[in-house]
Amino acid sequence: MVRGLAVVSVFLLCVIALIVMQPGLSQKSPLETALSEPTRSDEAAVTRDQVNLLAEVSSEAAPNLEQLVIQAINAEALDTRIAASEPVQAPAPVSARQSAVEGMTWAVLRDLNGATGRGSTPGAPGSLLQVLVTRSLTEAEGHLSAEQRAYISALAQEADAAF
Amino acid sequence: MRLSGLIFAILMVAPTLASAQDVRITADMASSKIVLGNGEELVIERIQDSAHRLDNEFSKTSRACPPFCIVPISASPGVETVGELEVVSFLQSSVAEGSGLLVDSRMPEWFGKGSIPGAVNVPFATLEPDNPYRDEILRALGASNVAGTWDFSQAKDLMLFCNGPWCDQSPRAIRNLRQAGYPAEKLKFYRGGMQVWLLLGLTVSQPS
Repeated sequence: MVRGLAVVSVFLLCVIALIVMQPGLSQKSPLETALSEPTRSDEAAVTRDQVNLLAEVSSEAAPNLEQLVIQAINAEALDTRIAASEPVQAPAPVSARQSAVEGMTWAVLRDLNGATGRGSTPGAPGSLLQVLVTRSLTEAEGHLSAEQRAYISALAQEADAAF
Repeated sequence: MRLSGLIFAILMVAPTLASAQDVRITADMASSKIVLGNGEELVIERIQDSAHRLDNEFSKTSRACPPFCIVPISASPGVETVGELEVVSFLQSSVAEGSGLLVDSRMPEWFGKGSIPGAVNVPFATLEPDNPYRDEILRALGASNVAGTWDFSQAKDLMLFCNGPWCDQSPRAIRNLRQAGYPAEKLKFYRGGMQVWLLLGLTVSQPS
């Protein structure tokens, strides 16, 4: 009993000593540093009065989606077959400009997938294959035959009854 | 005192060790760990509870036919029909190295309830020739179209499955792929599907 209390006491003392002596304890935490008010001597601090909120932000700092699209179009590996595809039986009429934008969108999607590594796993969430599958299911239903629609309906009923 | 403690520890651990690998995939394989190209790790193993029973949709024996008729052993001429061990081997090799895909051909409402780990969902309906996005799906699978002629030399090897021997979804997908020109040697048909996979107590993943 006495021995046990002594062991526990020594253990607690060691823990306290380690906490007190750990490096950086005397320094301000990052949170404290961020929340501390700038003083008059802090010349680098920017106060609300000094910032011009109406100043134009440099275009170079803005997200460059337009640049991505241009790069995708000019890339040698660009698959122009999407932009200049065969006539597609779309459910609703689309303008030529909308088709061009859609084509660029597909190209950007593909390149982004490749750049982010998501394209390395086709069918995974966010992959080009999954996007195509989702669009096929939501937009191409009108192109199914009566037999196919009946079969899909039966599958849905079986799934509803089962789960 | 020490000896009794050691004996006690062994007695506590021994039952766990004895039952951990009673239900193996093969005599040489207790489980299979597969690492995909994106770093995702899959584990295929079997349920260890020898009293486990199927109590869900897949315990049904009789569904209306049509449409849920028994499918032939062969989905299409030249397309090999495979079993569970071939599925595991395919995951370990082609899927892990990125040259193949295990395709769940079922509609999303079925896929969402659980699938074989590592499978991707390409519902059979998206491979119908009238789907305006079908050609883009073929390209996403690695095919290319040059001057109106499809080139499948770089296309992925596909192993397709659906609900089981009473399900026509993956056979339809295979027929559509063959109709599009996909080489038969690049297609495999896992006829057992989810029915047999579950019946064998193999791991099922819940898609995110």
